Amino acid sequence: MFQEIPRVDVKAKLTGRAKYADDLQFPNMIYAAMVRSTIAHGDVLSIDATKALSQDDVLGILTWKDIPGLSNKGKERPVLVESRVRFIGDGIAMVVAKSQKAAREAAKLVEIRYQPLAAVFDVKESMKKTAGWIHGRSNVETIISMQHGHVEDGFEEADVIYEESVSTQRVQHAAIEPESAVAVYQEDHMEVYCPPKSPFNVRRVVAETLDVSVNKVRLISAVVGGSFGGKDYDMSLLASRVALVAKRYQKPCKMTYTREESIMEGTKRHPYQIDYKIGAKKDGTLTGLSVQMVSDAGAYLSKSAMVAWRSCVESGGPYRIPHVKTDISVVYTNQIYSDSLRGFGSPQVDFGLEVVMDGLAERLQMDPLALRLKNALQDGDVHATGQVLSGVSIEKCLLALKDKSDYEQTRKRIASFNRDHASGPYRLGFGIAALHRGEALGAGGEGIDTAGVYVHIEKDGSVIIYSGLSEVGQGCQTMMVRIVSEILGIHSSRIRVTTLDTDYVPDSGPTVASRGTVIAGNATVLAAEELKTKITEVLSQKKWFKKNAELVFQNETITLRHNPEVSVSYQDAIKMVFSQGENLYGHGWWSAPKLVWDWKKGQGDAYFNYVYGACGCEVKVNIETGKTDIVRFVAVHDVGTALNIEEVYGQICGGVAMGIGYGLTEEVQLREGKIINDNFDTYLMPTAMDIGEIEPVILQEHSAIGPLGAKGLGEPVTSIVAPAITNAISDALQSRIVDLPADLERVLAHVKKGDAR
Amino acid sequence: MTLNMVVNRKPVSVEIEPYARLLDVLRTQLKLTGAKEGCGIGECGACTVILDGETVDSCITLAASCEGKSIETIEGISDGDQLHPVQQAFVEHNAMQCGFCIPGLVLSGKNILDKYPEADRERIVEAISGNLCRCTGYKQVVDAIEDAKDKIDE
Ligand code: FES
Ligand code: FES
Repeated sequence: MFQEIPRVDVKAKLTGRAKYADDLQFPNMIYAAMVRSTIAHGDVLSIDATKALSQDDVLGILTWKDIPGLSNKGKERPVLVESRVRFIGDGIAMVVAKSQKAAREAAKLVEIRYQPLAAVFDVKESMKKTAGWIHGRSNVETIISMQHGHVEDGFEEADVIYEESVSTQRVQHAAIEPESAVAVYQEDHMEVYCPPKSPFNVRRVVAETLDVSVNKVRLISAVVGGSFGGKDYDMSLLASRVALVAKRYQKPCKMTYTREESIMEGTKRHPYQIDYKIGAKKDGTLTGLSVQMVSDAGAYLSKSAMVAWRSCVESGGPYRIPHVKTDISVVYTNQIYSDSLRGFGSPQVDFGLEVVMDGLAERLQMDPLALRLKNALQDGDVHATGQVLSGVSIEKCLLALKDKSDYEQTRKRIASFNRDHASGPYRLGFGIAALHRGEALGAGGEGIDTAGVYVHIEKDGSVIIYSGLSEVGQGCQTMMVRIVSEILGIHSSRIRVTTLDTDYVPDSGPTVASRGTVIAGNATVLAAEELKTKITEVLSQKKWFKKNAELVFQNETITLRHNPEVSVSYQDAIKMVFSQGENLYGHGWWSAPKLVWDWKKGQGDAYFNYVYGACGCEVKVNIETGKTDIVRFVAVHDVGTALNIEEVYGQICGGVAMGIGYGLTEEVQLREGKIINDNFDTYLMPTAMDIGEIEPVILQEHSAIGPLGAKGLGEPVTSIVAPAITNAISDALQSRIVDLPADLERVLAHVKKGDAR
Repeated sequence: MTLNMVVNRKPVSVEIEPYARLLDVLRTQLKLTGAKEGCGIGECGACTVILDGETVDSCITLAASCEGKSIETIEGISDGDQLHPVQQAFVEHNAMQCGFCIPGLVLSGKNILDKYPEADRERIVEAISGNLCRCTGYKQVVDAIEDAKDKIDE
């Protein structure tokens, strides 16, 4: 439907000219390096920097005492701790030097004495009355619930009850770019260059730290080397830290974390422990579901409650279940803290429920796909939140999966392979998973979901877009170019998107929840429409323009709809507007429809829309080594109108790759609060050899609310990869995997269990 | 000490610390920031450069060991605005997102085609398996390199 346009940032990135934060150089720049807590819980008694300060090129050391504004904010991680440290990695001090090397070396020489406190690393331990308190007088931050119908009635109606406990592990973003920021001191403000996921939050935290108003901080985005939910609050802290140094020394200051530091301090995905109980009739009709979850928030609050709320809302999956009861406890521990990570609370519950659906299917002696199809939500169905749904496409997704994966044949082929090769080392398996996912922030979001975009047409007809949403690699800028080019009917080469600069754009909230497409996209639509109106107003004064005539903007020309003979070129139209002394700037401000959530009842309109998807995975498992190869991964996603097919492909392939890591190899391993796999030699992410054949299947069910009918995509893709993989492995081994990741050890353990059956 | 090498076909000589890493010399002294540091231990390939016809991780390469050698970085493979066929294929296949890993991937792709103009998919996959990319899932990257095969003349 649309012309394909290449990514707008493509050339700079391909030639090495794109400037990431660590590539930036300023005259007289100085460097900072962190001194971090080496114990998981305790109080700092003293800081001895004598040795560090005696080193060549070292300029000084900063602690919380050097912070003019806020250093600690409630349960959030501090810029620098006052005394209490809560995990191994908490920032205590910064050493400043003339070179990065000198700063890093000297930071190692700072000696900290602590008064240790009892630390707790296990969520279940932490929930007990006897655990050491991390914040306040309970380690349970909150319990969020959803209640639909009466779950006990649901179990009473059931012919079969299936119970299962599942767990998910702690993983990390591991964007290839480690965090980096530069602050440049200016007479009347502080300039910060960094890769921000939420630029306006970074600006606010820097202002609070320096104790200045927000207009005294200007954040200019460097190119962002991947976010996946990271570079959010962690970037706020890093930016605040360099800003402190820059202010103190009145010089530009840079700090770049090593990979080890990035892993030590970068936020993680919440590990969950979930107990499921699900009931169904003999024919597979679901009658009731109970979901009891505990989420490990780690040492600080961050967005843990929002993440938990999403998990809660989505815990019933894309299925019609009349009675649902879900509770999730958010619990502190002295581990590295958890925060947003691509999927934001969806991957955990999608894994859990999809594993349970397979378990139930087995109990019912029913085909897993048939069970899902039988219960798939339809338009007009009531969601577990009580919301009546429309635009539901899960059945279409499942049917497309059936078709594209050649479902029945694949199952048959695999069964006969396993029969014929029973004495060999390989087993094949096939597994599926399905999802629904709320778009944008939803009713549990902090504040209102809004974004602002400016679009200016210059006198020569070229266009500049100013947006407050970060380009974190997801192609958000390209999407905006696409929208403006469609609406004004002009070629995309006329359009440029500026670098994000908080001085020139309105606060557009964070780049989270795959909300870029819907929220910023709609704001862009409004801005472009405003321009169209302005042009139309001027043209309507022309003689040839009949009252109420409609104009068509296409192919760089503006034509009368009822009489295509009459037209004016875009270029001339722009000239006319300016010659009349009119302006051509358009402003779009879009806020999501109002949503309400009744926290007491655990019901409400959670999201303005859901997106749907279904996946199928074929694996080849070596039962001698435990190694799983992904043979084929079919990923069906309803993306609404695809604004750029290649971009959608890229999002799906990348999301699947990340999900493969979550399913098979990735896990942040901690011993007494210390991360032991702190670089890429031991934290194992998929390489080009590990991803098999990914087959994206793109369904385009027009969205009623998205810009030009598009839907958000970045996160749903990642969320159902792991369960499709583990369901496939379970199929291969005839033993159900209910914990992540399905690494060599776990698979081997299940080889034994399967043999025993 | 003084280090003499040929970088992107131009002879350079720089004063270096004896234990300087090639990556730092390129990024800080020669201002060639296309090579990135992702891990610092030779695992991610973001710092990939081509050294006398072989790809190396410049983060674990001693600069001093490059005396008299020839180095190609991402900055040197396009000709002004004229992209190298591998780069051009990355554009056509949308083979990038955040871009941080891309200089490394492009160089690994170029190098394998320089060495084996007929490289098949398997060989390409192997050649880039030392380059971690968290965004793309590699598929479009491999497609791009495969496609570039037919477009490299000489
Ligand atoms: S930075 Fe050299 S391999 Fe990662
Ligand atoms: S494009 Fe982001 S890491 Fe490869």
